[in-house]
Amino acid sequence: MAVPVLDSLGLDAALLGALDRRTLRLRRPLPGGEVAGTRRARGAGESVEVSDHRAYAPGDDLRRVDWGAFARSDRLSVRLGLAEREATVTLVVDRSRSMEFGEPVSKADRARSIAAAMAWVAVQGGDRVAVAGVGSTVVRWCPPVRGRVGVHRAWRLLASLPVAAAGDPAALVALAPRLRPGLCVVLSDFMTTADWGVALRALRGARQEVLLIQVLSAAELDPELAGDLRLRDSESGAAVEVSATPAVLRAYRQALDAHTARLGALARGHGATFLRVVTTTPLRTVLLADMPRAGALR
Amino acid sequence: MSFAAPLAGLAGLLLGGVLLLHVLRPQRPDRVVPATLLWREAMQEVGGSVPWRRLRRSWSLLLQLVAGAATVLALTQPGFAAGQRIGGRVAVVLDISATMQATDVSPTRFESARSAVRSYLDGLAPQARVTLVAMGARPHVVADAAGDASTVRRALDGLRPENGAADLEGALSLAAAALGSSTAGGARIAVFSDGVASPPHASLQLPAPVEWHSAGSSGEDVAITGLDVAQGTPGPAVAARVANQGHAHRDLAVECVLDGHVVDRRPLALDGGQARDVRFSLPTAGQVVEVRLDVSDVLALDDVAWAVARPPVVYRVALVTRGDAFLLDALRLRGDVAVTVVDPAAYRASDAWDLTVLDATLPAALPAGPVLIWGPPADGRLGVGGQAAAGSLRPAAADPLLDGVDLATVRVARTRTLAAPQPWRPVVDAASGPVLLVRDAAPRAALVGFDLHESDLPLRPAFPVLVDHLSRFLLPPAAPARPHLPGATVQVTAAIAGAAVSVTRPDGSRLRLPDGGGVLSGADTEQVGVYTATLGSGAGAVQALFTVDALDPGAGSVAPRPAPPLAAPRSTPGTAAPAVAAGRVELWPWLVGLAMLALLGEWLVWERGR
Repeated sequence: MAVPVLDSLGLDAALLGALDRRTLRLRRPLPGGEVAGTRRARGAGESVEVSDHRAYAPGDDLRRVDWGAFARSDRLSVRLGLAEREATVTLVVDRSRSMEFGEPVSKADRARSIAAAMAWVAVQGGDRVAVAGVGSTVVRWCPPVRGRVGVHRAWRLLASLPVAAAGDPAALVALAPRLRPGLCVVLSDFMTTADWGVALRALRGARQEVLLIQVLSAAELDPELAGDLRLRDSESGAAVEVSATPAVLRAYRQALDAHTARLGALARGHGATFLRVVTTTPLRTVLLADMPRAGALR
Repeated sequence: MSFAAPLAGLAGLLLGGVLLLHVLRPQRPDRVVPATLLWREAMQEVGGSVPWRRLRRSWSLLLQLVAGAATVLALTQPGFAAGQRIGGRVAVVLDISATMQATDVSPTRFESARSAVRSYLDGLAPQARVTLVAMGARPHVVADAAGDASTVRRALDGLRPENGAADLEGALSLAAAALGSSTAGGARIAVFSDGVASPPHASLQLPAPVEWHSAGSSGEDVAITGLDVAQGTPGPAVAARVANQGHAHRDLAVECVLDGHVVDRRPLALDGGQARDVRFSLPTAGQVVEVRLDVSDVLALDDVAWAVARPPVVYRVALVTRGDAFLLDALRLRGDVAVTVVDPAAYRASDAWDLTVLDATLPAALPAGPVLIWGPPADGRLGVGGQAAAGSLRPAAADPLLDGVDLATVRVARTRTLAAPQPWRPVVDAASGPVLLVRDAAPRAALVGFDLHESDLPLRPAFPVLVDHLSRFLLPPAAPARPHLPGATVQVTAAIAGAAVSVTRPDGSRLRLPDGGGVLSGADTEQVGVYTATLGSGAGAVQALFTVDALDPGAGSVAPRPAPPLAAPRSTPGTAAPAVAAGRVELWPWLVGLAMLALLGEWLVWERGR
């Protein structure tokens, strides 16, 4: 039976089933503490996976004594298991007006679909999921939730994110203190002159592994403009007069490539992963091919 | 090619405006995009936005430029030389006489000449002042316009050939008068005619040279050149003179028609230039004789002629006599009168007679109308005295009443002396004094002093002639029955003063004349055929007939003739050679048409692109 919120997010049961076997990939261990989970944390834990040994001390759980090592070395040692804990995956969706463009689905819809799918993958992997809608500020925030019940809450919030006037990296700076260590996925077109490095630094300070997903429409990649036009910015209202000559279109594409390259370099400089998604690419391809290829999913 | 207004070419600068409109960027439509960040960078990369754009190939631009260029070019009034054109005063004389109806050139000489006039007008410079003279029996100016060729052309289109002869001298005189003294700028007279006209008098001086444009090619025509009809028994005797005016032998037939019925038909063979009389003795009486030729020739107008054989009775004449047969017979020779012999004892002056003839009697009351008194008794009222020896007679003065009257052999034994008081005037004298007096004032009267039995006059040929002259003087015919030429002046008179008078023409049209009578002339008598004058109205109306024929014995052959010798233009101060302007074929109408077509095309392009 179709779930309305899934429909609105562009998901279906088949796709979710395909995602069941996927997990979000964190390149660095989570810091210790907090709730036990499936993610390896820094420090010893009670996982069955041995990470080290130490000498037995009174009070140690006899079940963790490495009897094999005692037989080989005649010294009691205790197996130290890997520290495992839950990761918090924060999904940040840009809800600025520029995200409303795109065919056949808007960039905002495609970003919400990806975020919803990643939320599903996260809770399936035992992680917690937080969702934020941002513009120039944080317009909506869903604290970390876990489990299937929690993911529905995250989906509902994703489906109901309001449109913000404009996008600004400052919203991520404002969001950073709320974040728990984990993965922060930012879905945006990144079409602003503001310095995204500030946001990336703030996220790193919040012990976030960052995945930047740039969502663009086909019209942005290859504009179908003709004649003389006055192009007006959907967010700032600023106008620029354009004559859609081949030279101008060529220069536009070069500017887009340069902009994307700058974002990629910035992400790499901050230890983040950068991925570009086009709205015309089927969602299934994005989730099951493009993102694993980029290392965002396993 | 030359340009009449080259400065108008400056308007071509406006074409730059058209180009500028296509180069300048138009008002740009707005389009909202997600972000202009990259577009701004792109425009900076290619040099930014400029207010102009590259000129693109466009049908609209091409058609606009064509329309604009054609208009500018039209404003400069381009043209190229097309020979020499006359630019001064020009009098065009077009022959509209009867012979121009000849069909030796298709369709007729007149139409051919009219086309030639049109071409001639086309060759005139726009500033030429043209006077158009129609040369018929009465030449007249039909158009006189400067710089307005359409007026002359309309007048030319309205001309029709007439049935009369051409008055060449009159037309040239009229053309000369139209040119007047304004020949300083040059002038000329152009005549379009077949030349069938009497040459102008050698003394005619023209102010400008004459161009002669001949019309027609053949004179192969057979014509009725004369028609005489005399009373005969039982019907009229007709003599028609038929002439072959061409060079080829002709076999034809001559038909005689009496009151609409063909009564005789004679074959006739005529060599070129030969003329023969054809006589018909008609078996029955009738009023109108028509003679027509069954022949194919270049002019049909002269193939038919009409004559009045026996005029209808119009007047009632009372002969008051004790039995004189001489007067009765003489009066009856006139066909349009009905003579009634009245005994003097029975005569009453109150009876309404158109003419009263008193033979050797004078009633107590003289008639109120015209009266002929022959051999009266002594009477103080008329100044009639006693008897006196007369002897031979002689004209008192030259008088039309005595035309054809030979008085030399007439002897009169005795006559009454006549006092000849005013307003009477003597016509015939004898040794005893005047023997014939006439009164011209109405009512007319004639008084003869001697009794017919006292002279040998009734036995002389002069008697019926004199009686006929006197009766016509006293009682003019309602309409002269003799044939008239087209356009002739014909007087129609009603015997009764104030009676309504109208004339029905051969085509059935009716002309109303003033009560009592009037004059027909010009266009009134232009048609050939039989005219019927109706005198009076109601039951008392009577009719008189007269005919109009194209029988002009002086016209001769209808063959086109060369230009007659004309005197050289008189040399007067200010007379110059005809002004000749360089002819131009104007191109601006074509250019305007091209501009219109281009605009239409531009509109279609715009409609398709909408």
